[in-house]
Amino acid sequence: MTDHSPRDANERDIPDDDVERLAAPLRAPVRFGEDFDERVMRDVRAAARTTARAPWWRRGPDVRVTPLTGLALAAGLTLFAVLGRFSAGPRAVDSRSVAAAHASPDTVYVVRFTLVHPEAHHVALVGDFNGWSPSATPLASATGDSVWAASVTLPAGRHEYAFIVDGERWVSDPYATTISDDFGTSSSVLRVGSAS
Amino acid sequence: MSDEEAITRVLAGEADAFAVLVRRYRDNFARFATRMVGNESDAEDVLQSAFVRAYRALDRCRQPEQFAAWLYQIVLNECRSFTTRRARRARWYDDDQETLASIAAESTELEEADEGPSLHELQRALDLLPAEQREAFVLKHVEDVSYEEMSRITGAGVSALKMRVKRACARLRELLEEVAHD
Repeated sequence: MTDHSPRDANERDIPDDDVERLAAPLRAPVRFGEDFDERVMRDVRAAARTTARAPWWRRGPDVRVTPLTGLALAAGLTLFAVLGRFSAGPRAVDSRSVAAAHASPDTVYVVRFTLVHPEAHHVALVGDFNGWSPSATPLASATGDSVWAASVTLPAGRHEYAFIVDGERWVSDPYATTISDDFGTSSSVLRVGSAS
Repeated sequence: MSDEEAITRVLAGEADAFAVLVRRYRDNFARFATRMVGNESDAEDVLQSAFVRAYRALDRCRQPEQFAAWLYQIVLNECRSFTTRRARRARWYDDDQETLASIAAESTELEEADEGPSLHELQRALDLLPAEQREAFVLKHVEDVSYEEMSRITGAGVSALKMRVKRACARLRELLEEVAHD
């Protein structure tokens, strides 16, 4: 051990016997009441029920066309991928990919990705459309709450994507088609530009 | 059922599978929490809260095979939060001297055999240590956790942890000697 701090008499090495004399009584087992497990599980089940009651995640995805004339877009398409990880329990819910009908070959699309994540401090969108770069497409929480969103211009076709939460947690969309790469990482698949 | 299997089932929506993990780890963490907060009653509340917090955050347990180490972090944080709240609410002890007198009185009353300090005396002395020293001592000498694992659990460096353990041992010895001489 490297230690450059001043040492005093209190920092002398303590003989092992002395340490054992101090520690051994503290190793006595501690057993909680027989109902401990049941009390924990009652809270766990309550947490699970709270999750099931959460009203907002059951809302259907909000799909709308977004005209962006300044970008000379022929059409817009908004995707809300609502994916929840709630304080009440580990659960992911509800998303949908959508496709535009009557698209011309020149059509590009604005897809709005939304992640509902009450505990996130930072969310980024990664996908084949941004080189899977965690810094390329951060989501913004405009209202300061748990809804994170970003709009991305995409060409027609098939796209793979995922969310990165707090710079480390890879979150795929469980309600979209999911694929796994060679390393076992799951990503979601989005098709735009064709009715499917 | 392995930890990994239990976690998979919980994440698939089978909340009752979490009972396997509670049953498996409650006793080890019951002792750890008790040593950290000073009494079994508060430790029960702290550990109950820690298990529920672990359930809620289970999807963030990125290495299910390391569930125990992950749970250690949660329990430790719950203990820290509890003792901080308790310290804010009211001083648990008015000062060291008062507690030392209390230890001495109880020691005399119990008339322990002269084989060393009693569990009660040690727990009371442990309560007087700075939180970081108490954590380090309990993890190392009560729970027999390696310094490398302690570093992962506490976020502190190995050198700092070794120093905390050493200081904790010295301070515990001082406290108990003061009691013996009263």
